[in-house]
Amino acid sequence: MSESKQLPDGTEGLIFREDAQHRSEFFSERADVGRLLEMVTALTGEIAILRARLDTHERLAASGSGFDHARVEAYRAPSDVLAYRMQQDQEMIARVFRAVTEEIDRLASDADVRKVLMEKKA
Amino acid sequence: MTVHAMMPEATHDEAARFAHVVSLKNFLMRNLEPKWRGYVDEHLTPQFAAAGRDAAEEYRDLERRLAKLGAYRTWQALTVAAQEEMWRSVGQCVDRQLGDLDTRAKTIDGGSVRTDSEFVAPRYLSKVDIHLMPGGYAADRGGDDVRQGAVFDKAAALYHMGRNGGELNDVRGHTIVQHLFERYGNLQPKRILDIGCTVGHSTTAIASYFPDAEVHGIDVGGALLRYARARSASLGQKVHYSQQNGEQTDFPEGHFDLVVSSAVLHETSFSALPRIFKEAHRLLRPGGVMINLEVPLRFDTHSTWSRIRGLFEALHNNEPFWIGAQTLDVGAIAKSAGFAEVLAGYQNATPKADRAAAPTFTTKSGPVHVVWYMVSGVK
Ligand SMILES: C[S@@+](CC[C@H](N)C(=O)[O-])C[C@H]1O[C@@H](n2cnc3c(N)ncnc32)[C@H](O)[C@@H]1O
Repeated sequence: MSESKQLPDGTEGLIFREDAQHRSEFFSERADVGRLLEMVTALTGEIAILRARLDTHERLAASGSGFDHARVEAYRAPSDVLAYRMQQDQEMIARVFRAVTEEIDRLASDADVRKVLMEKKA
Repeated sequence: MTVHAMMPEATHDEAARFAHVVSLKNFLMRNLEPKWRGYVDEHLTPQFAAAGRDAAEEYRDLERRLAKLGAYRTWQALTVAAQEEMWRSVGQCVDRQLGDLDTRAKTIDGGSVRTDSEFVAPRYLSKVDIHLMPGGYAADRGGDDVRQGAVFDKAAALYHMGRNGGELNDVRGHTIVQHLFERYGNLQPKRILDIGCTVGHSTTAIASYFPDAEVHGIDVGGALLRYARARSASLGQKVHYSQQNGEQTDFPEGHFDLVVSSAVLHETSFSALPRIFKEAHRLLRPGGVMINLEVPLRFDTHSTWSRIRGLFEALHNNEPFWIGAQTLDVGAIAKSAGFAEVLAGYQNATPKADRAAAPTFTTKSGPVHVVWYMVSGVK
């Protein structure tokens, strides 16, 4: 785990989390952060799919071919459409996770944080 | 149209979900991680230096303190969540069509698979699920099961984000052959072995250059290997796969002209790695060539952040030997295994090997996927 108490296994050079058998400690003892992040990423995934379906609808409508469930399912985005969607998706992700980005940006001007990070080992 | 007959097909929504996983990984790699790198290497490390301390030396303690920051824990958890989301979404897509894939594999002829119901995967592969892939490399439901191979193949294209040859993921294979052409261009291998072949991404590429050679691939999972055989065959290459440990195989001494491994050594251990070299030496005929491709990372040259990132990879992406492997002098290990003309250095990644191309092997390192670390020698 990130409080990496364990040292590399001297003879084999292997490092394992203490709870290595489990999925990840983020989902057990750090359930607050881990479970929330798991749900948020799952949700952004659902939004991305929804947006892709909407975009497919709009493109089918614009092409005049009409759209129904089967046509939407059969639609495969060509590379320029994929690139456009990727761009939109990246922007959505940046908005959703803005709080983390900004917090990291603020660290450099935070002397208290620096002090904690530079504490000498007891 | 998929890139080969065994590649799982994605529905409209599955494709959108995969694209989103790539976007998430992109965000983590291109937006968030560089911020941590900047903060740790450009802000904190000089402050440590000003106080007469070496932050890179103290990376473990520093990482422990970083984990007190909410932003850091969020970054960690998000990175894990994105990786798990990748496996989950690929797993669902594969399960929806698993019956078809199992059946399709049987209808594609070419090559062979030999599994071993008694086989036990080594601890460095079985204790944790490497890359967080549920079940790990060895997962196998028996019978005609190809599930783990299909999951790995589909996910690999997302995992490498197009940097290893798109959906074929074969740049490493071509790069190994380029290295061979540069160093031993006259070698006409009749038998080739790829140790740790997974689903044969590199094996298949290597086989394509030597149509007359008998090509073998070994790995630890039956489902991987069944899938690999059908995948290679669907790409026109007959490859013989068998479930074996690269530390000790059942091939006769002197059986091969060329033995390779690609991105395998960093998933072994201090004691296993030299054993794999000794086994490669045993398996080669005199004059035979060994080539190993690895990630171009050396722990001693790492910045503070790179060390912390390495620790994260080891602990949270379940790569237990990630750091250990980067501390080894692999060239020296090759020599003590008996190899001559040992060279260790870096080869430019290439999507196609070419005998006439200008040599690119140097001792100068570069970024992952742009160059690969190579250790080669002759028996
Ligand atoms: C990252 S994958 C390699 C991918 C593949 N060679 C390529 O180039 O795309 C590492 C593989 O090495 C295999 N491996 C590690 N140690 C091994 C051993 N002792 N015997 C056989 N396979 C091994 C793992 O099971 C895994 O499939």
